Amino acid sequence: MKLAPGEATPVVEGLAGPGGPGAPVPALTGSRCPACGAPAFPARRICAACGAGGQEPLPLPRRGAVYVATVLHIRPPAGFPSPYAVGYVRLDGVDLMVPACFGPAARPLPRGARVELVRVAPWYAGAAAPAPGSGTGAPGEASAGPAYVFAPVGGDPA
Amino acid sequence: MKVAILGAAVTPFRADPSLSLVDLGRAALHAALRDAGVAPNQVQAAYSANVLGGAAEGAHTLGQDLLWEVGINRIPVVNVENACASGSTAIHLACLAIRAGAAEVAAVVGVERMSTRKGAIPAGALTPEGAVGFLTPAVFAVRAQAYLETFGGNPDDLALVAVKNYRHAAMNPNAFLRRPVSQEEVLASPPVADPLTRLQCCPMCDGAAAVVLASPETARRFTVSPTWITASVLASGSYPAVLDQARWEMDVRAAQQAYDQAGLGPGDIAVAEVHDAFTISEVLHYEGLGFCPEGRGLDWLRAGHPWLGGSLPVNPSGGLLARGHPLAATGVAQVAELHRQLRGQARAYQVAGARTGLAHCMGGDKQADGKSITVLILQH
Repeated sequence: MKLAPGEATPVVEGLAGPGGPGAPVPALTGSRCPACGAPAFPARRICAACGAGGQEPLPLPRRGAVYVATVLHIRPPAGFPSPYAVGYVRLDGVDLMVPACFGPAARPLPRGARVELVRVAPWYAGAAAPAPGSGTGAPGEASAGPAYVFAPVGGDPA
Repeated sequence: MKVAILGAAVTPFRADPSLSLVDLGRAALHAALRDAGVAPNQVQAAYSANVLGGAAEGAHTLGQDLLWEVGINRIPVVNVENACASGSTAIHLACLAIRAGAAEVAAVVGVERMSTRKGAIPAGALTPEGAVGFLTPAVFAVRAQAYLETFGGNPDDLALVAVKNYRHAAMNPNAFLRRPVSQEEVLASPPVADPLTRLQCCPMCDGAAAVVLASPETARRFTVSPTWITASVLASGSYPAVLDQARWEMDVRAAQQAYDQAGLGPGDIAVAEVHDAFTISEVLHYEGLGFCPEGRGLDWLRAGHPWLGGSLPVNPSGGLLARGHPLAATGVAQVAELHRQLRGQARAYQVAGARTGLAHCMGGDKQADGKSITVLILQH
């Protein structure tokens, strides 16, 4: 798969991101199997499809379409707004569906709504998964809010 | 090879923090052994299921504690955790041991204590779902959204699953919530995760259940007419990179294996206990288990089929929604309830003339798929 320029930007200091000039452009990183090409998120060490090791980092497209979403009204985990929305995003140009937090919301985004990654928690950037037992938190922290947030394209990243 | 159920018992499902895991497990095991007419020294293997006790109370390797409470020691004891399907997984393992000839008589107990817990259970500390804030109700709420977006239908109809199961539970003295509710009441209860409201989510309570199983040869020494487990399937999820959440592929796969084992089809099932942790779950399972065509679950529900008195009553005991869902007790309680149904002993919630039952349980969340699934078929 070939990504369009700008579609997959690893976290690099100094680029213009949604946070304004100088803010890093957030990105999620998955992996791709060099042997069979299967993509994965979170990044894997061993390919689930063919068993090969040596998985290559795969910067993921920042944009996609909502597959499904819901709004949670119950007591949120520490660091989350209430109510807040979660769901799944079909990323552009790669055969992956990733879970996502959509930030504060009154009603779920409809299927097909265009969204983009607007924020990755510092503790999550570059990490494959949160530390065991920490739920939504970084290692040693009680909670850090959502690991990453997608928002409607052109919308308020909130 | 079929496996006999010699006896079964369920404690009342309640929110009573004064009862310990040991109190609950002891009560269920003692009652099941008495129901079976089996002495403690006749049990040759045991399987004990519990999900939360280890982390919440330090109650590790609980099974040996429970079994010694009723005078069982020395035999092989296995402690089982498989999320919501822990209890039914324990039954599956006991069936395998009996089929393999490793035990003639096996005891199974499932016990859970949840009334002291606060808040919804996170969808997994190791997963990106957990990291972006999926609590367990959200996993099923997105299933509901995907189902409605794919097949259409009125989201208010989901509430009828709760209306049905609360109505059934009102007839089951062991159920946790026994007050009938209206569709309006279900929809007006506080929102949890759109479109699911509070009364569309299973409550947290305490309870235990136990069964005593035996090989066909040994069963003859204890009873002239046991209930038979003629199919027992345990499977896990597929976790594809892109998952269709409007259907449950693992249901279809596990159910087909179970029907093949028993030599039956969905049309032969007279009563079912299925994993209705949330209203949408039951609708998806109608379809996954083949009770009705894909996309027609809400129509099938509205037409009355899964209600007591309908063509295939589902969760006559009240299900997880109203009987309650003490995690590891659930899978054992489902089998105990079907055993009661097939022997004609379910009193007010008896399904008339039921001879074949299906128990379905599903546990855990991984990449929007389940982690564990069991399908058992019982015949009398």
